[in-house]
Amino acid sequence: MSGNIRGFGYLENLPPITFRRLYQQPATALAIFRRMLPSLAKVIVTTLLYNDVPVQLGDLEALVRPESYREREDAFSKLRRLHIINETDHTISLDPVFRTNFRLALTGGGDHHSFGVPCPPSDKKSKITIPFLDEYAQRKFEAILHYMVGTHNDTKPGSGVISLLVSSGLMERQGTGTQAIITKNGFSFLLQEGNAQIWALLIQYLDTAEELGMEKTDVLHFLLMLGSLELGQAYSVNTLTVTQRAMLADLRDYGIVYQRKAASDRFYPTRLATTLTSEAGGLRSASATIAAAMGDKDAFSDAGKGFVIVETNYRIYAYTNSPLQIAVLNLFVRLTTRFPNLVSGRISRQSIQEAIKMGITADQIIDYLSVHAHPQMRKNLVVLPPTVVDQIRLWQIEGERMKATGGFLFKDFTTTQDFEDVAKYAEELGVLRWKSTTKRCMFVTRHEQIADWLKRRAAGAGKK
Amino acid sequence: MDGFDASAHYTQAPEDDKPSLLVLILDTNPFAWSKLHPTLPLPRAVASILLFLNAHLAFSHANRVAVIAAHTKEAVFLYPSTHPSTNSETSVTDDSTQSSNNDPLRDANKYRQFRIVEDEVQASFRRLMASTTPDMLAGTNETMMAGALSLALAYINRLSLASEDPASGGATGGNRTANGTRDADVTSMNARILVLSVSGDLSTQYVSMMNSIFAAQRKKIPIDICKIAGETVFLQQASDATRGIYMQLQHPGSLLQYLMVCFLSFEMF
Repeated sequence: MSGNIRGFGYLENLPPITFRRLYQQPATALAIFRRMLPSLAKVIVTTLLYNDVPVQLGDLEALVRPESYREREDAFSKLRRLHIINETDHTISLDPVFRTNFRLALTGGGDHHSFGVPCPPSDKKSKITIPFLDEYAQRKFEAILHYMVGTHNDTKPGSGVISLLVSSGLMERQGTGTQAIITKNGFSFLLQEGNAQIWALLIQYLDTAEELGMEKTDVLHFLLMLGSLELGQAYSVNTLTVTQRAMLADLRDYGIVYQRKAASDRFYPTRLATTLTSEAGGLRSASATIAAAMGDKDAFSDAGKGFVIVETNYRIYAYTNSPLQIAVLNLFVRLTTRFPNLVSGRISRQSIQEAIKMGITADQIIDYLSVHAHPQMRKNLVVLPPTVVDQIRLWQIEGERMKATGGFLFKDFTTTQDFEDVAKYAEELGVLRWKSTTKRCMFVTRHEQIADWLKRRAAGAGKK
Repeated sequence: MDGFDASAHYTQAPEDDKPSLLVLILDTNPFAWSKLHPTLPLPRAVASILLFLNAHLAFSHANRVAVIAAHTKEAVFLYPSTHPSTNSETSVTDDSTQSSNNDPLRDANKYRQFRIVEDEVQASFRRLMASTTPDMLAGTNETMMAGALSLALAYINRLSLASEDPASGGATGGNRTANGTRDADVTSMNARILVLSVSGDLSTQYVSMMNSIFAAQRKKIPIDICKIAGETVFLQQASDATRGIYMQLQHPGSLLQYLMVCFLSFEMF
């Protein structure tokens, strides 16, 4: 995602050995396939899946239209980085471990129980219904968000959650023992959609878990497995590893799983868990999904549904009384009036630029407004008034006389030809920012693919 | 310094990540399949198809499938089944009938969505075969391909209507996913029809066939044809008019590989 918050994409940087271990579980192989690969890479994987002999790289590349060069390179580089494919000398094949377990996931064979062992319903099962789980998840997760913005709420998150928020830099303590306050990162965290928020927390959890001596792969197996569980179904604790059982207690605090008692032999995944491996675009946000599922009967659900009306004159009306939503809106709107079920205010150059100073981007604001747009506004073809959207972007650009781009400098090319080749490749990938033919150096935003390409080219040249 | 940098992320506009709905039409003409038996027995074909459906579902959380059998006298839904007995078996998530006849440890080996589709397709397929008696087949050699195509189009239309009006969304496929995400993610859905055909054309179906083709063309629904045996001009026209794929299998025995390589990708890159 954006800013300094590490999202799901962080997982790509795990070491190869971790991936090899992750692929040993079919559920994990499926989750990684589903969530982390671009669609072309998925096609490549399925093409290779039932090919026992390595395929010529050229044959596979011929499947892709020449003008989709960029997607193709992106797909291959993703597959390489995730260690799903093995390449030898112009042939390509799937990693054997991944292949075996992904096949198992599709056919449903084997004896791995990686999709969770369901429990027979208990006598008291009537208590745990899907609305109950939704309510529980929402209460727990909102408690975290409420805590971050400092609003008063009945349920305070557990101490584990608070220390996680502090260690992830979303909140900070000015001195020991004082109340933690939200940071810039925390504000942009609040504006992210639900799924990204949960992953940001879980990735942070993954890091701290390692410090506590938990096995990283075990933790990841469990998180990715949660995404394939069924909402409303009880699952047995008995088949979990010791680490995973310890995790349950923490996940309960986030509202990701529910257990009636800490010592209970079963757990229920909530909607936050079952949507973990859904693609980010597929869900508007976890809270919106929850609200949609819960219908109108709860006042809480107003929070997740669309409630914001934006007018072309920059006025904003938000039908909400949730302190959390108001606090978030207050980040970039100058609120003027408040009624029992409505707040109104307007967006101005000043309010937007204050938000931008806090590290919130124009895109985040626009995303937030369109995700939470009132149903009445959704009836329009263009949800938000284009003038407002453009103006918010322009206000952001005003402050950007100079733009900093993080990246990498490539220099000391031996020949001009060499330089031109690499520059052309970088340009096709869309990562080239600047180049100078006379100095033979260039600046790119990402280096992994280029380094990879250079390596392979060097290897190819060596063989000739 | 990087506080205001909105361009930090490396995005390539993932505009092609719409969920997709695949309606698979399986030609179940018994005469044609009995001829095919030495190279591709029907059970193996069904197993390949199920695996292919799983792969389609694996692509994205929001992907959907439907399976229609084009039988001799009728076209019926295999999944989602309208038969009451399977509905009660599979749609209720925590009923006792299911846990009693299914070993929970077996369930743990399979992704639940896959298992629901598989069980239901197999159950309704078995029912279809059981209801086909030799008397019914006497004197006919037709396949209700036109009927199946219309069913598929009607189903796609209904799902896309449901997505525009979330209130009625719950009523369309009650046994789909219990994850409840459907309202949010069927809003913009790609739909596609794949026909696995084993028999030839019937001139009596010409008009209704063409109507279906035009409807699909108008709705921009590609009709892909996987031709296992026989000759059909109509279906060639169907795939041509709707910009689908037409493929005549050289080796019907390796159906699975054909399906996985040629018919899985929704967009052509």
